[in-house]
Amino acid sequence: MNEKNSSQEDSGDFFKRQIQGLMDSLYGAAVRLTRNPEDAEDLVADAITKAWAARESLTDRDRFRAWIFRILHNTFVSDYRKAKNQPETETYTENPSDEDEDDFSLFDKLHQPFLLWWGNPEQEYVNKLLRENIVDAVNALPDNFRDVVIFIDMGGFSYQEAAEALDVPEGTIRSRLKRGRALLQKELWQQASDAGLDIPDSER
Amino acid sequence: MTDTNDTKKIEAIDCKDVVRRLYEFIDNELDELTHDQIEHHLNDCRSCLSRHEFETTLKKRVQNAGHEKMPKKTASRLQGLIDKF
Repeated sequence: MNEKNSSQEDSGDFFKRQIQGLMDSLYGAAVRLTRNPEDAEDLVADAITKAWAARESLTDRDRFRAWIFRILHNTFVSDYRKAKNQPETETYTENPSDEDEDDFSLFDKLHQPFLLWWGNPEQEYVNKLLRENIVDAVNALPDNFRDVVIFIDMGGFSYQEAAEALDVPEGTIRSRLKRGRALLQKELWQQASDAGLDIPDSER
Repeated sequence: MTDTNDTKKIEAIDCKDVVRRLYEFIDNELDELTHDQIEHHLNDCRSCLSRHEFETTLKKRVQNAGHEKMPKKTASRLQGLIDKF
C-alpha cells in the first residue's frame, strides 16, 4: 500500500497534495455532469482511483488540473453517460446553418421596449434569478455544449485548459461555448416566460 | 458611438465588434490590443457597458451555481480512498 520507494513517493505526494485542493471542484463538476449526487460521488471515486493508478503518465505537473479533469470527463463519458442511459441529448448537431442559435441574447430580449417600465430590466432579472433556474437550464443543454459551460463558466477553466480536459481543439471549445451560452440564455428566457414574465405571445 | 476623427491612438471598434467579442473579453481570452480596444469602447458606450455588466453578472451567477456542497458522508468516503493511496 504505502510504498516508500523515493521516486514513487515523490509523485504520490504531489498527487495527494494536488488532489486535496481540487476535491470540491471535482465533485461540483461531477454533480453537474451526472445530474445526481450519488453518481457524482461514485464518479469522483472512480476517477481519482484511475488517476492515481495512472499518475506516472502526468508529464507536466503544471497541467495537473486539466489532466485530472480529463480523466473525470473520460470516465463519465465511458461509464456513466453511455452506460447509465442518460437522456440522449447528443443528437444535437453542430450544424453551421444553426448559426442563428449563436445569436440569442437574453440582454437583447430584456431590452425590448415593452419591458422598459421595469426600470433596469436586466438587473432586475439577474436579481430574481435563482440558483435552481441556472442548474435546470444547464441540465437542459445538449451534452457537447453542457460540458463546455460546466468547465468554463462553472469551473473557471481557460479555453486552452478546457480543450485539454475535454480533448478537443481550442477552436471547437470557442464555438461550443458560444453556442452553449446562447442556448443557456435561451433556456433561461424560456423559463422566465413560462414563469410569467409579462411577454406578449408574439415575442416568445 | 465610434468617433472616427479623434480616436486614432487606439483604433476604435464599433458596437457590433464589441458585442461579437464580448465573451472572449470577459473570459480574458483576447490579445492585449483587442482587449484594450474593447475596454476603451466600454468607457464611452453606455449601451455596451450595460451589456458587459449584465453578461459579467450572469457569468458570476452561473459560476456560483456550479458550486456544490459535498455531503459529509461523501467527503469521508473520498478522503478514506485517498488515505489508502
